[in-house]
Amino acid sequence: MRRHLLIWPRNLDQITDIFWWPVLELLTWGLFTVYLTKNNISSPSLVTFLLGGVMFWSVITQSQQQTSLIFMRDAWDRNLLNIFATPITIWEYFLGGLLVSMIKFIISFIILFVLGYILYAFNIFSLGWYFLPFMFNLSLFGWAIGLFVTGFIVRYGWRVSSFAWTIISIFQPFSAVFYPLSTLPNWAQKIGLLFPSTYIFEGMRSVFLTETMKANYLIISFGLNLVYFVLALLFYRWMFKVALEKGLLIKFV
Amino acid sequence: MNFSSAYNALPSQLTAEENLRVFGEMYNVANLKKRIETVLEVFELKEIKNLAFDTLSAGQKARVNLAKGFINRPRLILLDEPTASLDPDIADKVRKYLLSSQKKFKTSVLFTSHNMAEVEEVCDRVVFINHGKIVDEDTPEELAKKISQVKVNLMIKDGQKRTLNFARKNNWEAVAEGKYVTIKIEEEDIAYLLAGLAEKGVAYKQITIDKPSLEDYFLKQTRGDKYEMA
Repeated sequence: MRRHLLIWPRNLDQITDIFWWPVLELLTWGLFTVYLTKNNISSPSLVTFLLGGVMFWSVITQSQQQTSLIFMRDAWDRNLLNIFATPITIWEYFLGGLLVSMIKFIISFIILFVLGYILYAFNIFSLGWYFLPFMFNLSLFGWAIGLFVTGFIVRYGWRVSSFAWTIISIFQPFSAVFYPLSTLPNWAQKIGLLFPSTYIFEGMRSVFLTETMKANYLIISFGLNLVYFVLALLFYRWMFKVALEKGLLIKFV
Repeated sequence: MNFSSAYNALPSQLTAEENLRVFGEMYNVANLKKRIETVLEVFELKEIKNLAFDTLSAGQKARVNLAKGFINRPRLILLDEPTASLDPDIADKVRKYLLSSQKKFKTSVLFTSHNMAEVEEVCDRVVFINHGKIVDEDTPEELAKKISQVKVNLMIKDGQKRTLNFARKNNWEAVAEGKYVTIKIEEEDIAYLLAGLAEKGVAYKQITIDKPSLEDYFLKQTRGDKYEMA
């Protein structure tokens, strides 16, 4: 972890990860809701849905991208062989990255919370304690996708590295981030129900609207997350094993 | 174990010292501060210890990489062309440190290099790999001996024609150039050659014998029969 934390203040990329994109998203969507409210197109709940969606979606994006970028940064630095020549296991490597990504998205989330509150009077804590399991489930899903993406990059190299930035956007329309799941066509709803994130965003809207949460949303989301996370861990281990056996890590040098 | 390569890098935005600290921690090195001081000294990095890795020259980067390689006093170290970008002075110091480390700490070194002189100096056993296949394995001396012919260079004072005739009679390859005659023979035939020349009254001012080196063996392996010792 130390090497990542040492680099942060010196690296514009890292600062951009934490501040730039999340804040930009919040400002864009926030201004959009201001426009809607001023023109009486919007209801207060719509503003809440949109800003809640932006904040919570940033949790998944940050968790996924940071998990993948930990590996990518070592590959860019041509440092992978040094790392894996040490007694560090792939699990310690992953855990270090996980903790770093957690710190990053917590900082990022605090900034979003403060800005959302100051600029748009949006208070994410109006979700009450549900806020925590929502964050945890979304992070878990982000980490699982991050592990799958990292596994692919380890195995197939630079040619699939763009997955680190792009793949997450596939999940967004199906996860019903900014609109209820019922808005989607039937076939898309079925896909959406396969993702833990969908239950969280549906749950978030339910809490904002009725101040009640369907417990089964959290249970299903957590259950799905466990399945995906375990599969992702197995995939990650398998891809590393293949890469080590075939000497593929040398391609990142 | 540890690893160091001229073609590998370390986290670019960490300084030389920070890199050593980070890797020292990964290897759980006892008394790390002192160990960092030692390797900074050995690889002459003290003056650049606070510079970011990506601001260093190729030679400086190679030295930081080597320092990282020895940070944990490894029992096994894999060195991939470790002196490729070093100047001859520091390369020599690195080889000497390597040999002393082998002796002092019983470090096993797996050394990959295209520099045959360096391999002869550092390695006890050599494995030749050509197109991904092991073609031979032995001590540097034994491998060099597999090229059995040596070159005897004579500066002839009197009797160049007799020398060439004697060589041809024995089916030895002989080339004359000015006052010099070079004869390619088996090492064991040297005594017979010199005795024969003395018998024929050949007088020579100077004699040198080029023994085959590991490089000759390497070239023979890679070029096959087309190779002739220079």
